[in-house]
Amino acid sequence: MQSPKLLVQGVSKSFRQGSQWLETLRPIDLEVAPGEFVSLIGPSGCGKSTLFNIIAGLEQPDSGSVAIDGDEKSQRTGKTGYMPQQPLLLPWRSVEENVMLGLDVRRVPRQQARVQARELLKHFGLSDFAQHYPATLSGGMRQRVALLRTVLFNPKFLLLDEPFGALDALTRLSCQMWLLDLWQEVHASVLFITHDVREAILLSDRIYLMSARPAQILRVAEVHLERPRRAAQLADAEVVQLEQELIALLVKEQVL
Amino acid sequence: MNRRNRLVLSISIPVLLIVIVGALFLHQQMANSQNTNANAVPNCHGKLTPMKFALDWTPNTNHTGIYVAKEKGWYREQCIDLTILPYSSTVSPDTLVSSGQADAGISSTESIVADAAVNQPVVSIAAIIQHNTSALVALASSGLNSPRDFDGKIYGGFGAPYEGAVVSAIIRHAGGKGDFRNVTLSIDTMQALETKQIDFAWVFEGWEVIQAERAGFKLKVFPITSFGIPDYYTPNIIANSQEIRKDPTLLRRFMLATSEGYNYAIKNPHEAAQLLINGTQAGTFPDQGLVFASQTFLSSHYVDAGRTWGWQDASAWQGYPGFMLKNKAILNANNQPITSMNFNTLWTNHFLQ
Amino acid sequence: MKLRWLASYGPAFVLTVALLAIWELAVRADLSLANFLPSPSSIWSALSLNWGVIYDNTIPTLMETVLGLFVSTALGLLLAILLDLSSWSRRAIYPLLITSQTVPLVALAPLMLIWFGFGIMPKVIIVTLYCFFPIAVATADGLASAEPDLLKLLKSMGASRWQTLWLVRLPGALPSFYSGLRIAATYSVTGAIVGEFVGAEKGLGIYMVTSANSHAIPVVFATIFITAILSLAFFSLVNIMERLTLPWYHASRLPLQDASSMGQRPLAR
Repeated sequence: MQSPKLLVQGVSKSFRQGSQWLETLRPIDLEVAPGEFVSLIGPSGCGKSTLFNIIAGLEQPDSGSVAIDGDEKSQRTGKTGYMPQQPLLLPWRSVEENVMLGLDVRRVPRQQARVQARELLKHFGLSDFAQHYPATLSGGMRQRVALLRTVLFNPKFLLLDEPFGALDALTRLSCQMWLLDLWQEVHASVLFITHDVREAILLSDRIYLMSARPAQILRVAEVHLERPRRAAQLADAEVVQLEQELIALLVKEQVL
Repeated sequence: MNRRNRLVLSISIPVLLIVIVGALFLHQQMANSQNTNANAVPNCHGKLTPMKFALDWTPNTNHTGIYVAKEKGWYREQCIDLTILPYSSTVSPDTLVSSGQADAGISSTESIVADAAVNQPVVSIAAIIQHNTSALVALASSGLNSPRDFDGKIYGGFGAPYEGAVVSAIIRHAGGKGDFRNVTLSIDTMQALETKQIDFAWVFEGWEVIQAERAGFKLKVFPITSFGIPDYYTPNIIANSQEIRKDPTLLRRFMLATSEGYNYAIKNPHEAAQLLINGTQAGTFPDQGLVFASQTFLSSHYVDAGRTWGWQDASAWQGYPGFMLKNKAILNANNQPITSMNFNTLWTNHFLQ
Repeated sequence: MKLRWLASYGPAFVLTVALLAIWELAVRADLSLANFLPSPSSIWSALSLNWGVIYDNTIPTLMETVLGLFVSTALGLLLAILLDLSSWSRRAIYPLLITSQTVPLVALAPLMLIWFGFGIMPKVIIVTLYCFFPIAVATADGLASAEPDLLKLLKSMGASRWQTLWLVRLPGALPSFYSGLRIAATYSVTGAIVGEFVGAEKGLGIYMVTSANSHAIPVVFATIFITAILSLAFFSLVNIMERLTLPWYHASRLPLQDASSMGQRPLAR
């Protein structure tokens, strides 16, 4: 058996608020196998983003370890394809140049980076927009560009923090399908945060459900739907049952 | 237009700007530079001593002798390469001379006395005009017929510590109380007078009064020496006491040429005025007629008949400075009035023949 | 296109012409005004009569201004980066910056003259003194207002502090920089003229003083007019440069999107 892409063991984190300590994460265990699509659902403000920050290397855990490709010692920054909620496209760069951003940070020669970015855009049907500037793009387009930026930087391991949360329902659906296509091609390991249960079920192989703060893992569910996924599958009885179960748990946490 | 092109274009704007302006500037500099051909003057063994002279105001007929001597080449004959420094409205010739930034300059008796009190001493080496030609003036239309009427009126001055005392004494001498409102101006005094922002001012008869006449304003003129103020010299040529010790022959040669200049102006006012105009930058005298009119007046006032131009009398250095001292008009560096001063160290005729 | 240009500049033009006409008529009606507020026509004739001399005096002032602006920009950018370095450096440098703006010319002038004489250097120094401050402060504010999430993104990519500065924070601070540069450009010509008051052979400032001392009021106003034109020119040049380098900033001000969905927090103009 291969070592997991991501192994989180016993990670906890507390934050200082004035004179008190706010316990955000109770010891969390989580893993993502290579090529697996894993979702993380939880009520708002439960600490999902904090966990992400720790995995991406932006923060350090108070206890426990985080291992990427089995390596828990070296710096994690630069090792993940981290995509925060906002697309954060640089307004002075064209779409193509925005996609290149990660490679620029890695100091890849410009010409080479440009070629790779162009390839990626072409591959995923966005080459018409390559020279456009973010100001002229719709919300959905921006998310797609941000996703491509993330994928170009690290095609093997993606950390996606509610990328489709701000979109309207129709755009969201088309983006989800597009993401699935992308994942099929690239076969990245993905850790995906959402608070939309249906989205989690549609996209993932496994789902972790987190409690409210201080967060811990309440439930790990496997999704046995066939790939490639289709929106129609959401009507299956098995899916509906899982959905209701997860929503019930979630609602309980939300109220608390 | 892609980003690279746009960036290049926007950088080219300031670059072009500096190139164009720089080119015009350098072109101007080269056109202006004059080469001082020292070999042209045989006596000097190829070496002209550079000298810097600081003016007290923008060029006017008080300065004529110097410009005449320069234009006529009399300084060069004395092996001096004279640079007349531009006028600075924020730094006085007294500061420039006492700090050594200028070798000589123009000042007035009052300033020289004030300089000594704040420890920036300069020495008067010549009096440009024999008698005081300054006056208090008011518009003829103001109805102020005597300095006595200046009580309670607005005086537009230049921010010197002695103005208050002098003006007050003049008013009292004429029978008034000596109370007036003192306002320091940084703008044209005559303009302030004409627009009735101030009621009276202290000016030179040889320049501002003539200027006002030419502009069509009738003035009431009250010469200060007619109202109890002791006669004194203004303007004076000043030098630094260290300079005096270090190279007295230089100053003597300088004064030789300068005296020649003023003597020429006394005998030939019209030509001297023209030389003043020629020696200054184009545009210095928008009204050239003023220069000629002023020179005609002043040429007869530079020196009394039978005397050497520039020669100073001890009485002039006792009377007025003593008056200032008595009226607490001499302030030290802490703005406190001083109580005694030896005025004899402030002047010398040593450099005049 | 032509119509839109007319619409944006038309009102200003009409207003200016109207004001000039009122001014001209007022002076013609009351001739005593002419001595301290000459009519536009007399200013124009003073300008054309003395054009050679005025041009001759404009060149040095222009050189002082341009050099001063260059130095100010370099100095302002450097200081902005220094201020941004740490909160310690900010607290140390800011008070010095503010103090530099409060020194009156009267105190500074003798030092300028004695150290640097009557050449071009003291004027460039004074222009720099007046102009570096808005550039430094505006750019520092622009650097400080970078979106924190964007900085986190860069950090997650493994970007160093300098990479973040170069790739994200400096370009993001450009709109603020141009704000500051615009202010500096507006004051630059005046700064050169004030510098000339310290003492100069040639220049619009000294020409103004000479003309004022000779009571040539229309000439003074003609010089002021040229100064105004120059200031406007510098201001416009900055605007042109901004339009060229920041087309995205202006595109973002179309009603289509809200700025919060872009990489930077919206910057108030």
